[in-house]
Amino acid sequence: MSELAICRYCDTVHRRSEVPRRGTPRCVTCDSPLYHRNNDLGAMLAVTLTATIALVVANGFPLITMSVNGLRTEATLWSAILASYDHELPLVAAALAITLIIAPFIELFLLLWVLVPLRAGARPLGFSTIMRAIHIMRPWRMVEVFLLGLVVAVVKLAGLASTVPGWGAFGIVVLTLALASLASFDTSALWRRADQVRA
Amino acid sequence: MRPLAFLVAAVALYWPANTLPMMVTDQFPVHRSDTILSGVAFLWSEGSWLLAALVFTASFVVPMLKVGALGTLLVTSARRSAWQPRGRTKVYRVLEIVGHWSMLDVFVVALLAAVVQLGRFASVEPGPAVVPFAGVVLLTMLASASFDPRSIWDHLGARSVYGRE
Ligand SMILES: [Zn+2]
Repeated sequence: MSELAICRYCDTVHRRSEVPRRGTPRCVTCDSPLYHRNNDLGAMLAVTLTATIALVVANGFPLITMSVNGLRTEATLWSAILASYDHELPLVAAALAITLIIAPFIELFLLLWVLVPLRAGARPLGFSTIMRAIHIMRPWRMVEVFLLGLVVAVVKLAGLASTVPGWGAFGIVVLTLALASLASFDTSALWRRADQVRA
Repeated sequence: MRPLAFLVAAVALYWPANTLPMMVTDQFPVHRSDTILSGVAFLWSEGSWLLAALVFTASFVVPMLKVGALGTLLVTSARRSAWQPRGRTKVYRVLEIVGHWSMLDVFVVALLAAVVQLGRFASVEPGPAVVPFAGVVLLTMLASASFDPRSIWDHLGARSVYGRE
């Protein structure tokens, strides 16, 4: 396990020692990226903690505040979900809740669940199941798409009223950056570390 | 056959997703009801070209290309085709990356509906296309998640200079 890298697109097995040291490691068969070089678990834990705090901020504060003719309204993540629910669109409300709150929360929680014990030199409970769950969870969080949606919404509202982004929007920006940075770590480093710990 | 089932369901929702109104706007005394494409045309006519191009790409071009690409991948894998396996793997990787960006318009509508609640002065309501549209996006994502890219390579024999272990 430790010294091999298996392409997840075509199953070709590579010895890490034979992968060229320069550039992105790529599969010799199908040319897909094999793994990332960044395997610093301490940095990964720091980024995961940052993302968790940003997610809490994104949930707790208004995303946009709009004022027009003395009237003030604001949208939070939760009020956007409730608005869909009130418009008799429970499926849309569920999709929003899953992609923007539940999926990122579960992914970050599971990452902390494995990272904290690994850093302390212990094998996390249910390690392999949790790693698979993290992998399955990933495509379903859509924080970065939501950030672009925020930008589009603010621009669309510009003609109607004065609109200001709130602290929640700041949380979304930080969360997007932190999640993008998490994607640049080599997750197989977690497997190798777990193997060392057991040995 | 699971990816095919998801893809067929997505194609079935494609028509209502694109012909029904996505967003209903009341800004007294103007009442507008926009489909995906008329919303893009409206943005364009207002001079927000960049935004119009962005929404058009995420909401119209990407879902269409996704359905076409997934269909091609499913057919070539089922026929055990030897045609361009590297290219097809690359197409699959692109699908994984761009797939969820089509949710953009659903998020925009949900946000606007939440914030623009000024009674008779102005309001935004999600239209009936929101559900089938989100359905197309999520079903095509399920289709690509359940497609196994190894099926592009399975029948192509020996794979690598390092061999299998
Ligand atoms: Zn490969």
